[in-house]
Amino acid sequence: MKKIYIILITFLFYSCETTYHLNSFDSNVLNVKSVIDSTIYYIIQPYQSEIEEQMNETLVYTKNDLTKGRPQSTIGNFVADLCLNYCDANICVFNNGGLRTTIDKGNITRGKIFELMPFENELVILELNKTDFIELLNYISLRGGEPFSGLNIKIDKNNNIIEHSWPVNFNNNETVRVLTSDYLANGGDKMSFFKGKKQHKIGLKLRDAIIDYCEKNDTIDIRLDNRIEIINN
Amino acid sequence: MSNRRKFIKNTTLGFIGLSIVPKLTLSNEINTKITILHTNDTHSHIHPFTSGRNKGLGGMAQRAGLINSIRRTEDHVLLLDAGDIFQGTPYFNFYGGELEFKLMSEMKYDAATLGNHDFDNGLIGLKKQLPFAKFPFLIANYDFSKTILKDKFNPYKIFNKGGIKIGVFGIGIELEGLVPKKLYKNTKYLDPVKQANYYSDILRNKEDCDLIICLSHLGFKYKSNKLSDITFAKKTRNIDLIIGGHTHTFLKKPISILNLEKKEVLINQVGWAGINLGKVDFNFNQYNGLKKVSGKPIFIK
Repeated sequence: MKKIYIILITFLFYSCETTYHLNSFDSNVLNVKSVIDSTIYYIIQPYQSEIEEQMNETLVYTKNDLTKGRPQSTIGNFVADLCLNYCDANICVFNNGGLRTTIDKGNITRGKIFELMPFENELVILELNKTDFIELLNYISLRGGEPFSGLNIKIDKNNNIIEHSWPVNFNNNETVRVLTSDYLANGGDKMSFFKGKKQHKIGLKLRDAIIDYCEKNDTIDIRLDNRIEIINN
Repeated sequence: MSNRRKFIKNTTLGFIGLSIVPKLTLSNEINTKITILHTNDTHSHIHPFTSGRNKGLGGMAQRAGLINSIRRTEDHVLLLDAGDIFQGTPYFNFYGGELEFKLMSEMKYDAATLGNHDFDNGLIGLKKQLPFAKFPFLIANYDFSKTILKDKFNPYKIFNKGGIKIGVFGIGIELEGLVPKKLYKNTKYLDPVKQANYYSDILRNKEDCDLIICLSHLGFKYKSNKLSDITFAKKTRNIDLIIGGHTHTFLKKPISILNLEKKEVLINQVGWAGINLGKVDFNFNQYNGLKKVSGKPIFIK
């Protein structure tokens, strides 16, 4: 049998090692408007040429800037109104966060609509009872306004509802048909009144609805109106 | 240039010192600058804006040009992104993020984390594009073990720049209510604070990192009690810099928050769409001296 001696030696050994100490920092925010890097430019080229013809196509002319804002906005009214015209629904609701760009007065290209609505969200209709409808109104008012169509709301400066219109009577368990996107219907942006409701699919993407509307019109003239008013008193 | 000259001068003095004074009394000081460049929420913006208030700003060829010019003057650069690379222009609708990843790889990004929009084409859409990214995605609080993205990501990575050890880890936002379940499937969201403390402790105490950076897609600040970079910074330890995203916040300079141990944490975020590039330079003093290394048992047969 082989004898194995195990000698355990524990010792500390020292060496010359470097340590670092964080001393100070400086910071800058740099605007990206530099000279272009040609390698990157040439990688982009084939991708760009493949899509730019259809993306640069002008679909419609807008007489006004389409901007974001609360309690209502020209871009929100534009999208909510055109969608409600497409479907058999009483009202239409979207969210400010889902409209991703603003559009300047002038020609609107297909690419611009892709920027406005980059998501593949589909249009759906949900039926809400009176309680859920009141919740929806509260949601819009508490957030100081979200894009909607088919309703009139007056709120005070603390975002409480003063009065509103009734899109249906809610007699005999009648429901209101609400058009929205599947993203919001599935719980996006915490629209809890949509939770668990049956979704009737339109079979149309939100972006395609906007593009189709733009293709069928020459000029659009979108303005703010009295659909939501803040009453100061 | 003057820094470099100073470095050479110090090093030379160090060598002379080495030859004439006993090793144990050697104390040599050198300054090292680490340059952190960062973006967030670039959202498929390949080209500069052509209208609106950001007209003429942004663009990936322009971003690369700026990064190149910084790399020419700075020795130790780390290029990072805090998520939401995907979604926002037709380039994403048509190519699914391929071009974004290719260009970021060409710019030599060192790491990124995942934003909620990086799930917009589902786990399968993200998986399909990963081969185009030559940089790692770091995420410490999404558990992908029951998904097709199992083993595709690490929680952290350590970089060595000019002798400085930099630990970088990623933290993502809660996906429920933000991303449809059918897109993120069985991805499990883990507590950001708990995960951050666990990994930053490893980075600081086990891996001996000199600088710890968290790439966060939590969002800068909320009116509600939702976890933000600010509340996250107060509840965590060992982090030096949080590079944030999600809320598209334009900060003029990083803000400073005291962490759980009352030590300073910097939080920075540079808007969105690649309009800006963030630059934070950390200056380190280096000491060469006597240091205890370890006490190890040695077995002799």
